Amino acid sequence: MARSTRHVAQDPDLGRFSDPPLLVLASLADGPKHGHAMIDDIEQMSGARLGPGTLYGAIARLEREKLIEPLPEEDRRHPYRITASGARLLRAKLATINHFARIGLKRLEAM
Amino acid sequence: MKQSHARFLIRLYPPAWRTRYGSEFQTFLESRHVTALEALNIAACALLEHLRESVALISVVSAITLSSALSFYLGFSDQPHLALWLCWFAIVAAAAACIAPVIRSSKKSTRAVIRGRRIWLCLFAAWMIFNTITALFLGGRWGLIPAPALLWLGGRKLVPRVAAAMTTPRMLLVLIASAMTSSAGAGLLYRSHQGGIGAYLIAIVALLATAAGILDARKLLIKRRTAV
Repeated sequence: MARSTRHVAQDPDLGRFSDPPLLVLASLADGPKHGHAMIDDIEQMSGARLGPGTLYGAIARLEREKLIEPLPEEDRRHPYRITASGARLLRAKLATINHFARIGLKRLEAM
Repeated sequence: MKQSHARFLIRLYPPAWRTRYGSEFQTFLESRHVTALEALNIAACALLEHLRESVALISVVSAITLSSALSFYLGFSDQPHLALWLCWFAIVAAAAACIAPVIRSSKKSTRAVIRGRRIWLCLFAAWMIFNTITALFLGGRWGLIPAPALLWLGGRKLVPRVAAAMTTPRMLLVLIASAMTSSAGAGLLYRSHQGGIGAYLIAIVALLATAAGILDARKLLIKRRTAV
């Protein structure tokens, strides 16, 4: 547990699990998407509907951290794709969430 | 959404952000129905982008007001307004949080000063000593005079890695304005002993600066840890 906590602390600071950057990364995990597609996908995936400002704030932040990258423009829209380091970070974060969820559920069952 | 409305919302963002994302964000907004709540979301995020760009600036501003905070705290033994006390402690906390990573990164600079290569740390230290002495014996106001210029020069020369983004000529003006405003505000509050809305406003600004400073310091520390 201590190890994974330290691992997360050394990653780019993306905030908590429910934060928009993580949702954007998860959305891009199954292929490049532009803003519209991301909003719909995230809503379908998590039930959270990101505001346009929040979405582009997250995109800007992830691009700054080189966790996603833009693809050539299509019809004045930029699709984005996840980079190798983005995928690595997403995997680490999801593993932590998974670990946390498994322990939490196990404790609930023991109640 | 209408083109003019989309343009208006995008104009709320900082120029650098607009250059990079303005065109595609405009296409995105124009192609969808934007509710009032979403417009508010965009405005709030634009404000956050502005703050993100100036967080470093805010934290240095709070660091420099450490001087005025300590000066006034040490200089006047009367009982000032509660909001002013709050203001002082908030600024001191912010300044401590801001200065910590700068000090951590300045070990090399300190060694260089010991070898006699750098004059700027000496100037910075001289200002700190000057400020403390004047605060203790003369009431503290004099210490504010050289503070902005010295912090600007010192920060620029001492810790270029950390302070590069923080030390621009525009920032010098902001620092001077900040130091003057905080000292004038504190002076007025001290004189009136009443406080009121003005006092609480200053306290709120100080608390915001504190939060920004602490966040900024945390970010710097995390970056440094990652780099190591």
